[in-house]
Amino acid sequence: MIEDFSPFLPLSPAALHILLSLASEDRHGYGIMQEIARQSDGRYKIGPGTLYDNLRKLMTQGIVHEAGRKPSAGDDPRRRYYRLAPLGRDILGAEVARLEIVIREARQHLRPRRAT
Amino acid sequence: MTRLLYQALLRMHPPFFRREFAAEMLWIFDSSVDTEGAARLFFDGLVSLARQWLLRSGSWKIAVALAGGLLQVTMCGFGLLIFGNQQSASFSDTASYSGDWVGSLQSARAAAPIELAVGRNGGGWLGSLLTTDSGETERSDVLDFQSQYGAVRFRIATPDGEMLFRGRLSGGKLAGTFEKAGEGGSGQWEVVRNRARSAGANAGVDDLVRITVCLVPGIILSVVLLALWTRTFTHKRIHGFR
Repeated sequence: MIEDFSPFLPLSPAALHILLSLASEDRHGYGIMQEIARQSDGRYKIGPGTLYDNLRKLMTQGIVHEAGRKPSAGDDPRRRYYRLAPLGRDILGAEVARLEIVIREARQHLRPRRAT
Repeated sequence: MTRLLYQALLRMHPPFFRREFAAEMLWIFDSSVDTEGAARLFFDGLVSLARQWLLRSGSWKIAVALAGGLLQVTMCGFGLLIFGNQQSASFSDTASYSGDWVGSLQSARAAAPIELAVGRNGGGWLGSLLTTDSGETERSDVLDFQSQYGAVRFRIATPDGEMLFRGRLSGGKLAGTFEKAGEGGSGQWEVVRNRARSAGANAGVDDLVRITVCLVPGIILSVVLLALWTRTFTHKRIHGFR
């Protein structure tokens, strides 16, 4: 059965990067911010306000869950870890597929034209 | 110091957001203030504060209601300014008044109110007095209308004889005395309802039109504003994360 993720798409840049940062492992808030900066070579950064506003919406919609993981011995007790839910992984896949089409189209139209 | 200010900024967030994320945001501030800079984190916090209160907490509904109410009050204010001024100006300065005036006179002795209509006729004034005491409408002409410094005086030729009115215009209200020649009787009459009709663009403006002019633009603007807000809000809910 093909699920329709169109109500969730397209994702905003912030939501896309948050989901991408959680795709490989569970992360805490600051970890998500750092991973986003790393993924974009420092060209895209989000602040804590934007991060938690998006995280709250993603958790409300069941796209991200709070991981049950406890902070380790050296960790700050205020840290909470977040995990990409199966639904979130599907949505991220759908968004990447959508972006692939966009990029393919863009490449086709932006190809240098031959002089006639 | 900057930490305390940031903490205060977090405390100003709506409770639902503060309870869940304030501690983590403060931890991120502690961890990243040296690398990110306090100014950037404060700016982010201020944007977050506005976003949470205006968009996420449902306060936008209150904002729309307030804006609608404000528009309503403003439009009513404009209406009062336009029509109120027109009315009071016509009563306080009859010399420059070029429309009609319709008043309802009430006396303790009279069973029914008397309608008085006065209007410009060339350089003078003409009008009529309509009584419905007997069940029939009796029409009498108003003659020799004089007005100076707020004092009004005119005669009314009725089939039973002539009546003399002397009164004052004050604050848009006319009060005075009718005396009936020959009988020596007089009655105190008071204007209970005033309505001025300008002969210009606003001729024929009655209460319904006045209410419409005052309220309808405000209502339309409120509905448009609400529709825009609702559209934005619904769009955000469907498409998620802009």
